[in-house]
Amino acid sequence: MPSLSRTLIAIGATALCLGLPLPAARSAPPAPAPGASQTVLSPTVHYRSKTIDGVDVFYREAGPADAPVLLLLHGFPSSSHMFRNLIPLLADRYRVIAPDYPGFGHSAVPDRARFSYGFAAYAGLVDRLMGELHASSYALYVMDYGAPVGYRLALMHPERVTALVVQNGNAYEEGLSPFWTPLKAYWADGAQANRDALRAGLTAEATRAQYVNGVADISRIDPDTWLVDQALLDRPGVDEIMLDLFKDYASNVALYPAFHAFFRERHPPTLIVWGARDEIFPSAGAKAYLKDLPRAELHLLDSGHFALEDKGSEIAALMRDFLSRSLPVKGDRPTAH
Amino acid sequence: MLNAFLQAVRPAAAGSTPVATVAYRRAAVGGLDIFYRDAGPADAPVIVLLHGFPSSSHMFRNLIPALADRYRVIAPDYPGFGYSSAPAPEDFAYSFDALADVVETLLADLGVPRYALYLQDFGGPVGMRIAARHPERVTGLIVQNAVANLEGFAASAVGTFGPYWADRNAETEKPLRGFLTAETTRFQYEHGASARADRVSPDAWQHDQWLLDRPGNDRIQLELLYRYQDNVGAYPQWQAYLRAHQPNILVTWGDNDPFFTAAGRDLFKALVPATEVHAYDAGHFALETHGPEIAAAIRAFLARVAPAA
Repeated sequence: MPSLSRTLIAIGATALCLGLPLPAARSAPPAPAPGASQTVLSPTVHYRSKTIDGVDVFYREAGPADAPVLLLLHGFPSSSHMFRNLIPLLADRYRVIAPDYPGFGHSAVPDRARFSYGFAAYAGLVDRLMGELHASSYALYVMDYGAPVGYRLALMHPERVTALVVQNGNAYEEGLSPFWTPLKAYWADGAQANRDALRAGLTAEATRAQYVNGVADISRIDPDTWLVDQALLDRPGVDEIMLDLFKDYASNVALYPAFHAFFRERHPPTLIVWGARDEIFPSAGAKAYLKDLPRAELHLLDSGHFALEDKGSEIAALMRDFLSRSLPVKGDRPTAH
Repeated sequence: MLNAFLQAVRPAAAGSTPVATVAYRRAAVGGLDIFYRDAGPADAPVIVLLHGFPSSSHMFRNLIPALADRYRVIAPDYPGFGYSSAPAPEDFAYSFDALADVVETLLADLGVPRYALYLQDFGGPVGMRIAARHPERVTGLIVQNAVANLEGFAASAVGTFGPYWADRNAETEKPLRGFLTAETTRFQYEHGASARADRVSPDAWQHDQWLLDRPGNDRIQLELLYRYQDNVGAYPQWQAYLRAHQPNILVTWGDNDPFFTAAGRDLFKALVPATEVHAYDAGHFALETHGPEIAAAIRAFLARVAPAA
């Protein structure tokens, strides 16, 4: 290697003004080779945010502005990150919007004294966001926390919900596994000891378990998932916010009868895609929907809680088929049903 | 029921392309646990994606599925990056030679005799070493904001590195520590994104920064940034390799890169006239804003130089 001083002199002498006599940089690309034309250009995803009631709300958005809207509502402890691979699989046909609730993902984390963390507040913010984005009707994809957020939105505006895609998003007592026993104890008695007992749910081990439990081939699970979620959970003060939300989840259970009434009265076209090995929301919760939505299409998948991680292709294919029937896009040929 | 639905593919739904399965694997390489993303048919031509600083195979998360229907795609994390082992500098002699050794051993262990290499930033010195050592293994080089000449290095960057390389001490190290901050990491992604700023996923810089912020990772990065001068010393060898072997090269370049210049971009065509050059209105991590364009260029290039059976 040349001596360092010589190297630095060479750089200093040449880097600023050097111009090798080179041919033009932009050459015409050669004619496409066979096979290359099969490229599938992935739809562009935009990373945006809007300030709603003083809170910076982040959302991913993709797809044609005039297409039917698909609103993706994430679960705990994730964010719209959980939809990073699903969005491009749907955005050629749909306008896909995936927000992060405050305290999650890239949205702001307002102080608990200033923002009343809870599912009602989340539904209110998502509702405002939809207004800002001029999305006057939408199909809902609900997973975990996304279910109570989405169903509260549905209670506010039942006429706006064009369809439901339910993925491990619970709305029935049958769907609450023994995982929920310590949460129920905290709901019954808000003692600090009961609150502190739930901190185990905020650890790296618990986060990883949410992704890998019930999954047959763990090599399919992207470790980015729990890295991202855990780094965000570990931010100062987020633990108390998450514990507040654990407490407030009781208010969702109280609303189950209202959710059921919405299902029965509006009977939205419904696709249920459910990781059957979910230890948090077992498949009894999926089947329970059929009581109120007997025409729902139910698919139990060999996967866990975050079924999109290893069954993303399957879920996207089911959704595209379901949505093509329940949520036609302008220009589609009519299909017989 | 599922099969019935899948078979009943209607015209409107037919455009759906199943996304390629990506496996997240680990291999023991020289006592290290090396993480790699692996996708595509086992018997397809191979493309190895070599990441830049301060990222990891995470920077290829969207490119991999865009190639893996036709190619086997392997994207390792170097020691000290991503999910690979990150031993302290006392326990592992960090250098670009060492990173190249790890990647080369991994590829040998995976039984991959021939491959195209995608080089970005640090991927340049890693991949150019592998290519210069084994020209016969390389079906093609895809160069995205990685340099093999002094002139490719922006003068401002030289001003930062020069004193540290000449005399490594706490004072000369200070500007290099600036490369490890959240502000710089974000800058690396956002600078030059230009009209496509809202396509830069905040996941990218956030992910990198969490890994940089691990206790002790700063010492690893400072070691590699010090050893980066070895690359400057090796430029003549790499250039001799390019001139002598005339490998297939595709350059996909973000023209707004604050670190690497147009002279870095143009070197490849100067030495290998058959080189195909695509320049984009993009920054250092051009994949964030121009992923589909770069994927399309790579597919056309590979169809020519490493056709799938």
